[in-house]
Amino acid sequence: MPETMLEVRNLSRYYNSFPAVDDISFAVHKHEIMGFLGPNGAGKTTAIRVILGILPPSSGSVQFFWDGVPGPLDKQRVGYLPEERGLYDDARVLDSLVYLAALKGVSPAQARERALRWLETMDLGAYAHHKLEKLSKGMQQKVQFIATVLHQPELVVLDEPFSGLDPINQDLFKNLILELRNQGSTVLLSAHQMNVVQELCDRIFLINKGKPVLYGTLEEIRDQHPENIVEIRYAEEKGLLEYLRSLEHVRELHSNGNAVQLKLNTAVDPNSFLEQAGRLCTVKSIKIEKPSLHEIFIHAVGGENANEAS
Amino acid sequence: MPMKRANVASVFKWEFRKHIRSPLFLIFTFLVPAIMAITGFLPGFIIERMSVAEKALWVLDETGQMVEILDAALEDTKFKAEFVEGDVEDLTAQVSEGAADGLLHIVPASLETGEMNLYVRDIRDFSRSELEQLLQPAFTQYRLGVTGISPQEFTFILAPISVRMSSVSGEEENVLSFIIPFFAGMILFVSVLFSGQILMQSVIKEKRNRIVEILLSSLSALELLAGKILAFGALALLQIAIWIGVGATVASRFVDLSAIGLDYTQLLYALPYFFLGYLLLATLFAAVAATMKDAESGSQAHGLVIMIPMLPLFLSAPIMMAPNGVFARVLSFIPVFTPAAMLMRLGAASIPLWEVVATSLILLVATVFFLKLGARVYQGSLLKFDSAASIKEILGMLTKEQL
Repeated sequence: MPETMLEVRNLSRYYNSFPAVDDISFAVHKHEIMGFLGPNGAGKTTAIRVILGILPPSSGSVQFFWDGVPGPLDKQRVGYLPEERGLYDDARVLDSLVYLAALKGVSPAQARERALRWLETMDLGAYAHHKLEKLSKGMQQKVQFIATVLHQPELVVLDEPFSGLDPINQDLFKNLILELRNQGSTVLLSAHQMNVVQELCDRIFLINKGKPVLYGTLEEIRDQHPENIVEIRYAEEKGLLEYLRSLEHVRELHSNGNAVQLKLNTAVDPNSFLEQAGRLCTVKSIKIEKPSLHEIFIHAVGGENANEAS
Repeated sequence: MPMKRANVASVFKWEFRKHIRSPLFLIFTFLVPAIMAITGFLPGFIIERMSVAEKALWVLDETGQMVEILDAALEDTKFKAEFVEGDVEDLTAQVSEGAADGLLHIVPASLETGEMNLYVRDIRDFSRSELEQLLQPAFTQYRLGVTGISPQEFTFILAPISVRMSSVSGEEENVLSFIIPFFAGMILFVSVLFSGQILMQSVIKEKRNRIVEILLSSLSALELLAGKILAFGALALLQIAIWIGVGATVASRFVDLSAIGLDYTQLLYALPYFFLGYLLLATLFAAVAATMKDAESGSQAHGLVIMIPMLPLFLSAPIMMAPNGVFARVLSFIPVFTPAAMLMRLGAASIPLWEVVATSLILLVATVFFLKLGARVYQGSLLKFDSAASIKEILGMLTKEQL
């Protein structure tokens, strides 16, 4: 049984009468990367702010298990990279990092030493004494990441850490997040890049319009999904397309030359489907697979948010 | 959650170090007082130098009655009188050529009507009223002599009067001892307003560049607010110390400061008003800044906020004229006006101890109240990045338990 780091129970947060977060419950296990997903405006950032004590909840509870014992939030043991990023642009990079680490209880000497090491790792060693405003946006994001992890937090909350990053820096950040987990930190990761989430996260929690939608390991969620993706390549078609169009449990049928793709409800027995399909065409290949997280996201949050996942 | 002193100390150190090196602080601390001193003293200095320059004044006395009297009246003044004879037109022609600066023409009718002509080379060189003040006693002396009053009687009649004032408690009037606490109060106040301005800009900037969310993930809004207010208070005190230090050093070259007889009790009384007034204003500034979207609207709001405690300064005349009058006393008991009103009154009169204690207590209670409300607005508004908080929202923050 995995150890729990954070437990959120029946959490709600209202703005006037609008429920930004509406009765969500989930837990984050120690040393895992938990994906916290949802379309824009789903309530992720509000939920994170409540978890981190920046906003009070309207109802529900947030509990931490720092040393296996339930207790309240300890801000010094948490690192937070918010979606709305910023640092002191008129202050020197090293000074800002030392100050932010001091607020997390790290001594100036230790913070200085760690910051210089991190800056070297990120190829920013030469900019330690530069003002932040002199750095490029990508460099500033790296500095921001250093500020988040400099105090070696046990729980790291990353809200859209990949937004605005080029592919090289995306890879860098991916590796850094994996490294954090490997070094013993727990990561709560909110992101829109489904391929990255699929690659990094052990489990996910998806919310939409403030309400919980999906929760579990990637495998569990993919297994729970009511549709499989089917692709059939054939040499000769003998009524296959007509048959597929007649099926009640087929969606999004696309035919392209000698290939057809479709979504098949899991209620359909795959064996009888394969048998029938094999009779209606000369099969070159057949592939039935679980949907990607991208597909699941779009299915779960509905058409109006379909273009938000990438 | 209890306030962590280490967090407050970290914010204090950061803000103090950051802003003590800021151009705004350096300019306001050193340059602005220098400019004020220059613009305040230089014109007066120039005028004084110009006004003491000697003027060669020819006097054409057709009556022959005023020579002796005028000679005595203008002695030891900047007007060097020379009694001349001749034709007015010739003499004025000579004045225009630079033989003298002016010609005073006294005709027989002048003795009765007091009217006479003054012809000058450059009208800006002469002050007509100044000359009239010098000539008035001379003509009065002549007229009294005509009516038969002897010089002894004349001295008796014109002997000046002098009123010496002292309080029944034995305290003697000493204008400087009142003026200096008043100015000290004003310096404190200006400094508070200035540091409040930087505090406001600092809050708006942290909100604009979004760092506030990172800060709030490390400490509470109240810890952040307290660290900031203390840092800017320390900056204000440092600024005052510099101003007073430099001011006293410069003043000691011209005035014997030990002879002024400063009333240090009054200065001591001024301290709680400064300290509490600063806390009250700084909280207001920070809370208002947190509700703003950008620096521009911050400046406008700052202007509105400082109008409240500044109001007594605009009404300083009635307060100074009657520092223990009903108007001044009522204003002193309204918390937002208390600091300015009391600082002025302490400079202008002896204030009963009970009033000092009562107004300080009222100010203390009001300051604690404002701190609590200010912290609520501050916390509730900081994360509103894209818009200013509406009045309805601010009222909601003040009245609801949940922000």
